[in-house]
Amino acid sequence: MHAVTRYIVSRLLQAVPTVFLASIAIFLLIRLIPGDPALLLAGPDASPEAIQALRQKLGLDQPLPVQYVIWAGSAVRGDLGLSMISRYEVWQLLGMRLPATLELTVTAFVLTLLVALPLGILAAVKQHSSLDATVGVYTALGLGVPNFWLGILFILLFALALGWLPPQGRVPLLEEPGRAWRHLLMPAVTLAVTQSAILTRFVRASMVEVLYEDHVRTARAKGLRERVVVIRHAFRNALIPVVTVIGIQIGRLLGGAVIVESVFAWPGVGRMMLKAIEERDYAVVQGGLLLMVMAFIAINLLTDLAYAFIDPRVRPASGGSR
Amino acid sequence: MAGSVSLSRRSLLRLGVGAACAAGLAGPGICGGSQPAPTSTRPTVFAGGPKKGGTLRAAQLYDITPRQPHSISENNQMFYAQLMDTVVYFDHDMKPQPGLAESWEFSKDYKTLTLKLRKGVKFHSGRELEANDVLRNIKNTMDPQAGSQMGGQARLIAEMQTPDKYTVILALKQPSPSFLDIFETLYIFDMDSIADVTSGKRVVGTGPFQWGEWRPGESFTAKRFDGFWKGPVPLDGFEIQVAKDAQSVLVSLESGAIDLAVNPLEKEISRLKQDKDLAVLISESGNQWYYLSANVAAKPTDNKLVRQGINYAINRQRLVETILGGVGEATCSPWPKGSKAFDVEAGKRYAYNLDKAKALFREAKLVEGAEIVIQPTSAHPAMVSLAEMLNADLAKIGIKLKVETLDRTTWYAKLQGKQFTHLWTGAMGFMNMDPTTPMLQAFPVRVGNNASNYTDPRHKQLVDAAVVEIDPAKRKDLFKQLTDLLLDECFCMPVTPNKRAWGTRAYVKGLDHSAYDRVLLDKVWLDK
Repeated sequence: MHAVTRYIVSRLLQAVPTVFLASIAIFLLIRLIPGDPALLLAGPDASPEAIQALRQKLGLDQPLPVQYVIWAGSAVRGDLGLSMISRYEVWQLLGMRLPATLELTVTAFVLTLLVALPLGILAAVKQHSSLDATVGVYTALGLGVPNFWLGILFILLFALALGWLPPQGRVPLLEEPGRAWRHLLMPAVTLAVTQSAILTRFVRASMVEVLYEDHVRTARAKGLRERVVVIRHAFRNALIPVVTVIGIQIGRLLGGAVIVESVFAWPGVGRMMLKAIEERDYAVVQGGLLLMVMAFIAINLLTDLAYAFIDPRVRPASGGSR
Repeated sequence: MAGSVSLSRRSLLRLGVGAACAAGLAGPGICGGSQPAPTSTRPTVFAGGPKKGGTLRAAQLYDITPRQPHSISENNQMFYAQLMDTVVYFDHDMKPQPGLAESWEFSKDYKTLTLKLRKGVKFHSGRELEANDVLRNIKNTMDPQAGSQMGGQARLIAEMQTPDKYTVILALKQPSPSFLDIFETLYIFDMDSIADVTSGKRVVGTGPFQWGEWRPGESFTAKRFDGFWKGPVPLDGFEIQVAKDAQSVLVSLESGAIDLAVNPLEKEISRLKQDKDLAVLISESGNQWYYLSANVAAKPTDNKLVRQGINYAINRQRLVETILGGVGEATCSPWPKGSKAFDVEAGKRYAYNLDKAKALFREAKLVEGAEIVIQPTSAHPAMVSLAEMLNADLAKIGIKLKVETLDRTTWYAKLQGKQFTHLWTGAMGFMNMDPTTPMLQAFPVRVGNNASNYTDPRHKQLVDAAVVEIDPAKRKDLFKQLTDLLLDECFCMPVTPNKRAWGTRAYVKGLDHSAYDRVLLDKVWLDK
């Protein structure tokens, strides 16, 4: 077996206990919140018998371990169950919402990279300059301002005061690109601001450290152009810690999307989850969280694989894993 | 009715359709004889010609939940009213009007009701509405597992017959002059496709719009039903977007992202009214009321004197003026002006008076520093403010009120489980109907199985007597006694009418609402 394949398989096997523990936590956490979905669904006129019948129908009359085994067993077979509220399959609901979340997070991620990489590099190269100070102010604000508050400010300014952009909702990017970007812009920028502030700081710090290393000084001594020194010799070496942060940030983008989707009524998985928590729609919360956990694990794996691409020294050697 | 336009419920009233009924034949709820077919006359409201086409974009706080067809829920108010019809409905003066039934007749003893259905009414599926459809819908309402609030009233039916395709005869177990009330909230579904309703796939009714697409938690769209029995309506369709909170609904309306905001915050209404690009429709139906209730099974709210003291400590006037922006009335009586039980003096009985409250607490031996818990829900922001106001007022007389604001689901579970610690706030409906109707159906005040655990035999005796009483004068006396009982026992304390409102862009024309405060889109058109 190829070393990289073996490495991937080994990492996937390591993920099994993580997913198992996460599934237990997910299952129990939602049930710790007070509120019985059967009572909610039965209506105020329902008799105790009707409520009990509904509990039986939903499987809520079973002991918790039995409920968990039934749910986990179905999930392993790819069946995440039915929403207690809408009676739609959880996969169907996730399928409806996932494109919106991907659209938002991918756009925000691209914006994050477009802002953070140039700003971080420029701030490091022009260390202690007014540009560096300006970038410092941006990162401080980006880190300090909560994204839900920033989103509200954007809505007040660009939707209410100026009327340039719609305050909420989504038009699918592939269906009507012209209208879609107007809906996408505010939530994506809101989500990207905090993330780009974090990444800018990491890029700057990493670049500053590398720029003082011997090989960079040697490159300059060889008479290479400054752009070549910065991009080829400094930036590539500075990337390794940055990639770690980027991997974590993708996960944070998914988390941040929960809030931003809610502020902008963006119909993604995050907003669906919040609604499902409010309504104690156990199956949807469990299915959605499980999907997010698995996505996070996959992103971590991809991040580790990216190290090997950037730095040959950390590639898994043939005959054994790293 | 080729080429004609829709005829709305209000238009029907304007035109005098069903005037025989509105003129007040014999007694309450009675309306014998055939009504003229309402589609025969074009209403003046469309004389200038409403513009046809366009999709109305609306936003509300809750997603639709079509799983329980005959259970009334805030989520489905707007949605059902456009896709479904009722057999009989009430106009703004609470006079019954012909819906799917073109006429109806009570027997002299009010124990038999005969409904004559309109011919040629089609479901969205194309099938014709028949008497058996009405019968099956009523049967479902009677089933306790259906979770219908009208179940109590529906179970007054002893026997149902359908002698022909268009006639339904309901034999009641006892005289019930207010029985028509049940139809205001009983929508007629195509029971052949009811499995699709409970699985959330589609809803088939006879209303002016038909099922389009439901994206749970996100939006619902409906399109015009060209086979609507009153003729096609002006709009091509409508969309209900699910908003995250009341504030975002307002922002969407003000920025033009939506055309209709369902129930904007009361305190924002006066501001909306001043915007020339917007319009506000406020319901004066008196159907919904904010209330503050007490668990009479828990100490110290098991003591009537404590409950009366709380009632005196509610500053309704300040609530209406500040929190509700003037959209409400300071009255402690639950009956609106048009109600058979309306009594202006009763509404003044618990005028804000902290001295009286303090004296009652003292008489009840409620020790100074005692803590009472109040549990409003964040779904009713005005009632959270009321709890905070009450907290401040009670603190002045040495009573500590602990405010525990609950999310909607937790609050709802406590309501159904009758598990509130001491006090809670909420909103209830049916108050503009016959006064016996909320006493049979509204969970906060109904006889026996109410959320306060209040089970006084006098309550049941009065309601039982009023339900079967035919003589209007005797009924009035019974309602007075009932009001006195409610005000004396204070297990449920009405605070103010919860006036439903709808904010629209100014180009939205022809908006109306039902007696049960459901927004009606059948004559809405977009003037843009």
